This record gives sequence, C-alpha cells and structure tokens, in this order.
Amino acid sequence: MRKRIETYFDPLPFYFEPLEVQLSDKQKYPLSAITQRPMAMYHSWDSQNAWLRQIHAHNYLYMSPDLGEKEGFGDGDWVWVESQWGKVRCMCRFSEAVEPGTVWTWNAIGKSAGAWNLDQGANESKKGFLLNHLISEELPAHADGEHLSNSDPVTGQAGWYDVRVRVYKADEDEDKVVYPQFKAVASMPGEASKRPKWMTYFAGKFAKGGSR
Amino acid sequence: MTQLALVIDLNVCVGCHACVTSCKEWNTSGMAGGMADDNPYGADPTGTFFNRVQTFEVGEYPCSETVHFPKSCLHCEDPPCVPVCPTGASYKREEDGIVLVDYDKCIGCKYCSWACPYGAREFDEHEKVMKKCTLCVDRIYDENIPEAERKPACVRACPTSARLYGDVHDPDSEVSVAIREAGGYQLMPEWGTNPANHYLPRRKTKIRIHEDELVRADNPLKKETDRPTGPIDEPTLDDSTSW
Amino acid sequence: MHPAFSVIFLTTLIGTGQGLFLALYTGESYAAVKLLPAQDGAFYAWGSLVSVVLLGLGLVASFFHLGHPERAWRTATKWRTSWLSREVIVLPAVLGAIAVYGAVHALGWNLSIFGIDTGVENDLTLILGAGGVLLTFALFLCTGMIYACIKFLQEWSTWLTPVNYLLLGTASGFSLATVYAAMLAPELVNFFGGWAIIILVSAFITRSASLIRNARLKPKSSLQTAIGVRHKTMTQRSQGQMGGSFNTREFLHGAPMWLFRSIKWTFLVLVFPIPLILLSLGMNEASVAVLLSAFGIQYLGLLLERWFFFAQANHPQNIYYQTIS
Repeated sequence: MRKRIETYFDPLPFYFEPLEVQLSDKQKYPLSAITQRPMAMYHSWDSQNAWLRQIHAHNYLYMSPDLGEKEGFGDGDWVWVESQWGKVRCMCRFSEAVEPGTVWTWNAIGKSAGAWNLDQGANESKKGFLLNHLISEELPAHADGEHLSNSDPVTGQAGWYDVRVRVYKADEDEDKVVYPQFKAVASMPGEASKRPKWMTYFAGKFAKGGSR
Repeated sequence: MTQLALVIDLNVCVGCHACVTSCKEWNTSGMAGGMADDNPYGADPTGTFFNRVQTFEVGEYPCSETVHFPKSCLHCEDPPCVPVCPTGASYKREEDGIVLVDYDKCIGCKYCSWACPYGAREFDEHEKVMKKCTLCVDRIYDENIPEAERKPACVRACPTSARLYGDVHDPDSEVSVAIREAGGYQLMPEWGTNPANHYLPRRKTKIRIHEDELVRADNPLKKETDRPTGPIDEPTLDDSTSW
Repeated sequence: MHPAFSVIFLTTLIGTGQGLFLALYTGESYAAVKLLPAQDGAFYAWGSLVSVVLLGLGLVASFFHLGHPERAWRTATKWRTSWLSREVIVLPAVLGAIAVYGAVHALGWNLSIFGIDTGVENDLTLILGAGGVLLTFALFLCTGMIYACIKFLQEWSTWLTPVNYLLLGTASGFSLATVYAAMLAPELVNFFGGWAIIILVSAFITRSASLIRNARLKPKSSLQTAIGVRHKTMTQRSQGQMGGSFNTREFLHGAPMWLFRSIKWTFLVLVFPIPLILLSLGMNEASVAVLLSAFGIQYLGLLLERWFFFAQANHPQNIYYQTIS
C-alpha cells in the first residue's frame, strides 16, 4: 500500500502499464477487450423492450479482420474469447474500425435464459453474451496482496478494460449457442404467465365489436 | 409547388436510433398505425418500422469511418411506387408532395414494395397492407400542436440535429440551404426517381491558420523577433522569461 | 425476390390456359381454310372449358397472394398507369371471351357471316376467336410487363420477359392441346404436337437468351450509389434490426445456393428436352399416356422455371440489407 502510494500518487500524470496488465501473461493473452454501451438503451434498463430488442437482439465480438486471418476463422464464426478469469463462446464480427490489438462488444445485451421475462429461446440468451464473465473485480493474487481491487490506483475507478484476452475458433461440432448457459430463470410471482403461441391466433377474434 | 422532405446529415448522425423509436412511438398509436411486432419477447423479434438506422464502415483500418445511415421513405418526386399500384392506394399528394398509402384501398399485393429501389416500404403482416413513412402528415398539420413542434417525430427526437425538415422546392428553406451549402445528394440517382430526401455528406473540418495570425500585430514592444530564448534543456518558467 | 407460390401457379395456369385456347383457335382457322380436317363444336367447346377452368384456377390462385382479396375489385381502376391493373381487366376479359367462344361452339349457332363455305361449322366463332386471340396476346403482354416495367429489376427489365411468358405459356398450351387431340381428335395430334415442338424450341432460344443476358448483367446500383459515399471500400456493419424484417423476407429467395443453381438446370431439362422427346415419341405412337407425361413433366418444369424467374431477380434494396450486428 505504501509503495503504491509512493509510485502512483504523483500530481503529474505519467504512463504506466495498467495494474492488471502488469499481472497478466501478455504472451498468452495478447489482446485487450473493452465494451461499449449501446446507444439505443440505457445499459440494460428496459433492454427487454420489444422495439429495442429488434435493434439489439444479440451481440457480436467485434475485431479486426487481421485477427480472423491469423487465427483461421471468418466473419460471423463462433469463437472462444478467454481471459485468465474465464471464457465465453460467441460469434465474431469483423470491423475495420477496430485496431488489431483490441476486441470489443456491446454491454448488457446478453441475458440469462428466461430472465427479463423473455422467452427461453430469446436471442439474448442463445446468441447474446456478456464479457463480464472474463473480468474480475479483484486483481490476481500477487506479492502486494491477495484481494486487491481491480481499480485505478489513484481514483479507484474500476479497471475492467485492463482485461487481456485471447480469441480462437470454436470447433465445428460445438453447439452454436453462447457459453456459459445458465439454468432458465423461472417466472417471478406477478409476471404474466406465458400463453402458448397458438392461443394468439384466437386473440381478439371473439371480442365484442369484432376483431381489429 | 411544395415538396416537403427531410435532409439527413451523415456528418453528425451518431446512430443512436432515437429517430427509429420516436417514429415507431408516434405512428404505432396514430393514424399510420398499428405497427405490429412479432415474437416481441422471443427469438428473432421482427416488426414494422418506418425508419431504420444502418451502419456502414468506409475505408480500411486505420483510415476508416463509421457512417450511420438512417433510411426512411424518400418521398420521391417521381415515385416509382405510385404508378404501379393497381388500386391507387399509393399516391403522392399534390399540395405537399408527401407519398402516402391509403390503407382502405390497399389490397396488399406488395407490388409497390417491389417498385421501390430503396426498400422503404414495409408490409404489415397483421393488417396486411403496405405501410411507410408518412412524414408525420398527421403531426405537421395538427393545429393542436404548438407551431414550433409541427415537425416529424424523428426530426424532433434527433439529439444531434442530424435531421432537417422543410420544403426542398423553396430555395430559402432550411433544407434547401443545407443542400446547397453542404453538397446534399440524392440516393441511387441512376434510376431517375428524384427522391426529395437528401443526404449531407461527411465533411472534414479544417482549421486554416495564417502566418500573420501567429504574430501579434499590435505588440507595443514590437519585440517579437527579439524574444530571449533560453537553453532548451534547462528548467524554464513558462512565459515569464519573455518579459 | 421471394417467389410466391400463388403467383407461380397463377402465371403457369393462365399461361397454359391461354396457350390451349390459341392452339384450339389455330386448329379452327387452319380448318377454316381447309388445311386441317374440321372438328365438331364439341371439340372446341370442351377444349374451351378446359382453358376456362385453367384460367379460373389461376385467378383463384392469385387471390392467395393478396392481403385483402375482398378489395380486389379496386385493382381495375388504375389501368392508365399500372400493368397489374391492366392484367386484372384483361384476364377476366380473356376468360369471358374464351367462355363465349366455347359456348357458341357448344350451342352451334351458325350465322354464316362470311357467306362462303368455310371449313368450319360456325364462322361466328372465327370472329369471336380472333378477338379472344388478341385479348390472349394482350394478357401475355400484361403479365410479362408487370415484371418487365420495373427498370431496376435488371434481370426482368427486358423485352425477353413478356416474350418468354408468351412462348412458354403457348408451348405448354400446345402440349396440352396435343394430349387433348390425342383423346378426342387423333388426326390433329401431329399438327398440335409439331407446333408445340416449334414453339418449345423458340421458347428455349428466348429463355436461354434471357439466362445468358442475366448472367452477364452488371448491376447499376452499388453501395456507393445506395448511400452516396464515394469510397472504393465499404461494407455494411448493421442493417438496423437483427430479427429480420419485411425487407429481408420479401426480396430474398432464402434457398441455399446449391438448390438455386440446381433448380435452373432442372427446369431447363424438364421444360425443353424431355417434353420434346416425349412429344415426338407420343406423336409417333399416338399414345395419350406419353403425351400426357410430356405435358405433366413440362408443367412441373414450368413451375420450377417460374420459381427461378422470381428467385433470380436481385432487387437493389438488397444492398441495404447485407449484414446484421
């Protein structure tokens, strides 16, 4: 702690390798991973909205086409993205706007099956993913401490964009769904019960005044 | 004659989809509605929208640009969707040039959507009629709305003022001025549809600095050229050495 | 474009019905100048009935592609600008003309209009039939022009489109006429069969010409003209929705490429060489079964040909719907 204050609490800014990066195997995990917030919704609030879901039904891992060329996968393929904390299977999307050492995806679109009162087969749970599984709120255990916060040493702001990852192609015979999958969330008390689809055919047909 | 239209500024559109949702909100419960959504909470939700925002990447890394591209009916001056309609449900208004669909006449044959090169028309699977952007005709003439707000919902919603609304045949209107000054263009001009909606291109802002702006003209000491310059590798105290 | 089965059935059924009527009238006019043996009224009456039934079935099929078929009567109002509107007027007119033609044959009214001994029983039908033929050609034109008049559907926008509708429909109708003749008037089989083959060969030339033309097409629209950004390298990243929309369903055929390509070769084989061989065989042996199979296989092939016709068209709006993310 003393050493940290000595090193980092300097009134003038200077470049230092982010704390988590200093403690990561940069050869094994050569890429940086960051996330962005979708503009059409405020993080995940009301992202289950029927209209907003059509704009962002699931998310892709955006990366430079160079990465695909190097690792042998194409645009839209299923890939694993792995950090020292965990791994996630998702689909990739090539983008010229991403610098070759970075990958990114949208925040807050991936959801657990059944969560947010969505159907169990909803895109958010089958094709959408969260990068959160790759990020830890604590730094790896090291000489300075076992449970230090993964934060900027001066401001305390979470250093989640310091995570280092690697990306590689998923096998052809793997399921074409995201990993990890969780047990489907049951309906909460008070949530509308799910009517079977065939009943919607009759919806409004026998209403007084005729159907719309 | 009046031709109302939108001008969409690709230089400032950030792709926030505010125009998409505000259009859907205004129209789904209004005269042009309903706009059905299928599988709203299930797999692959799909629905009828009059306005969509697309994203394109131009160029290659590192000289790439991400262009967000809102697309809705362009209210062509020579609309290909109007003459092909067998019932006359698709029509262009004389008084303001807005192209509309009369839902009561439409038989849902989809011929007009084949005839639109821009894919601006969407068939509502529930009402079985063709629907499209109405330029909020129910908003722009509504006397109950304050005058300043009688604009299409998408224009009102845009946070970057990327959507402008006005009469493209009036040379002094906001839209005509924007088209002239920023080089507004039409989409797919090769088909002769003469769309009324124009798009403003990406522009690079250049700050041009002239030599004489770097030297003060009214320096009382007139000592610009005599400024003492200390050795570079010794600590300096900013401007105080020049006094 | 997404091929709609109701329209596929509509155009093939009415094409065959029109072709059958043309065959009957050709037979009757040849008989009028004594180049063919004359047939009695029942021959033409029953043939017209078959033609009317085919046209009627086609008309019924067409209602299935409408969202609001109860409003279909309005479709006749915009004939000044819309080829679809014109077709909607001409199709019932053709139906009516053929029905009247068949009825007059059935009733055997002979007005001896020409005052000379024509080879046929009934010369009123020659005049009515001539009107019917004009209307039939008009119907082929209207049907073809519905597709050909959309100039940015470059695969369709050629005079070959209505010509193909005409020749393929007539070939199919003459094949059916050959079967019909084999059953009711065997002396006419070689006449109808011969003409069926000639028209089939012409149709092969024009349909191949349109396939070759389409293979060489250079699209006039590009991403550059579609969004107006003039840069050589551009790709779409997002089309604005991720669950599909009308624009992704209506304008893409949805079949895998291997199926798309195989349907092309399949229809070419089923519509042209096989029926040609079967017709020749059937004519030689005067076999109803062989001739019927010629017509049946050809009709099946025509269904595939029509599917391919629709599926092959690339709508420029597809430029706006390439990627989702």
